[in-house]
Amino acid sequence: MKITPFKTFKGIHKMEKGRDILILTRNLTPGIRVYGEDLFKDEDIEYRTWDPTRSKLGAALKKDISQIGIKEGDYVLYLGASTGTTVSHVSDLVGKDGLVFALDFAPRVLRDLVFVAEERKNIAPLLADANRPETYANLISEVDVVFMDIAQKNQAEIFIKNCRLFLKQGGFGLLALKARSVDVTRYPKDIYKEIRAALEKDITVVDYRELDPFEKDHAFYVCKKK
Amino acid sequence: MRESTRESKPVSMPASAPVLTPASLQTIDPAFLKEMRKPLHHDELVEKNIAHAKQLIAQSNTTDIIIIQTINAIDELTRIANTLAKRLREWYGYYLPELSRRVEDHELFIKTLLQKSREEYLAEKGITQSMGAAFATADIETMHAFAREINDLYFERERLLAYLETVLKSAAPNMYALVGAMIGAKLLEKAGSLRQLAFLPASTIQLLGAEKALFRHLRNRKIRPPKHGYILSHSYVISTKDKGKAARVLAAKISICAKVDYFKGEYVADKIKEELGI
Repeated sequence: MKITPFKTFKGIHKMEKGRDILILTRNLTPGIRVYGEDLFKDEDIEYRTWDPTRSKLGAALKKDISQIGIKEGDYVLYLGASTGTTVSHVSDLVGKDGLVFALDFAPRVLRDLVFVAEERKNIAPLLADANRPETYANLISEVDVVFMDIAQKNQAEIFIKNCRLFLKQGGFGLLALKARSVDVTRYPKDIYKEIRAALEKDITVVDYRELDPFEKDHAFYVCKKK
Repeated sequence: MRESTRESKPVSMPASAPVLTPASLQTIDPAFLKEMRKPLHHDELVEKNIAHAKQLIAQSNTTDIIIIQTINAIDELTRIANTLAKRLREWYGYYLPELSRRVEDHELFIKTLLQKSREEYLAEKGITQSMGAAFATADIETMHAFAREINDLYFERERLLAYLETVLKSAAPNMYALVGAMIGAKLLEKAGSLRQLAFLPASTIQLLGAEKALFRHLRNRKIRPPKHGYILSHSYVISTKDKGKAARVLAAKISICAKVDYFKGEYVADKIKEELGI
């Protein structure tokens, strides 16, 4: 069992297991699992496996994305945090000096996230609607990265709105787009193109991946604020 | 020329440019956001937000959640009780096959089974030769104990249903009067809350519970759209010949009731029922 750095990503590691390559992050809270993931130890450092079928950011890494822009010490605004599967890995990446503002609209899922936040000390849970930034603007700060995974019809609009307001200049915006919630009846590829054009009016799209086979009809955009 | 069915492709929506007009957005202060980014505020941001989120989550409990949990519990209880009842039928069928054959209803089947012994039942129905095998007393008692448990599940289901009726009656009196507890609660569950139900158009209410058929139609327009969802089980729809029309009318009336209930208006269900002739 040998754990080595994953490409050029700082803080992300990999391990070969049979034919598969597992992606790992260093566990910020050793001994604690967040969503039943496997833990591995190498030279007294504990790592958590990142399940690409349950996390769109994990899937994007598996699909060979060139950049995710999350570094140690970063502040991340995470829209659509849900129960904290991906949030926990982002929390691993930013470390104890970083901070993840984890926002979700549903009280039920945020309940589980609050438990994770209390253990990790670098997650700030927010119960708010991402479409109404004015309701949480006094609870957060400027951020280095905006990550969004929200199944809403106007996801791109919400994303751009939040990037404009909270993202620092040169900061990264990551968008996991669900084509099916934009319009179920149309071809996902057409929607991807259209959204890309809409994004490029405001920010630079650095990289783009379709998340098949990990997530059906999803695309992942990496953007940089001008 | 059958290939050219692609023309029915829906009109492409323009990639909308994001709007940043609301005046409330102007109040967001970049200097404040920059200040909060400094490391000294780190722990404060975490602690403040955890406390705030906890408070909001605690406040988020509503009658809607009680209704949704109850209706889901009823649905699951029914499913489980029926599964177990089927097993009991199969099992008891080796002992007294004549009973299962004659009593279709699960609940009645279990009640009869518990009340009458095999001999009593056969004598009552005048059956002289049973196909049932010989069972030892312990074997019969085991089946009876199992039957009692299933009977309790049906009893619990009745209790939940009665509870649901009282809750829905006070939360949504008009809806309750028009469609009853089961349909009313199912609609509310699908919509997510009474508020969301009140804001839905009647045409959506008409199809709540028929999502599978609706999306099948949206993907392939050759497949006809559904006419009704949950409201099909309402007596007004089921007893009318033109079910699509009845569903449309009833959905419109439900929509009115939901709106009245959400905005706490006066009781109108009697007038509406009169208009429908029910």
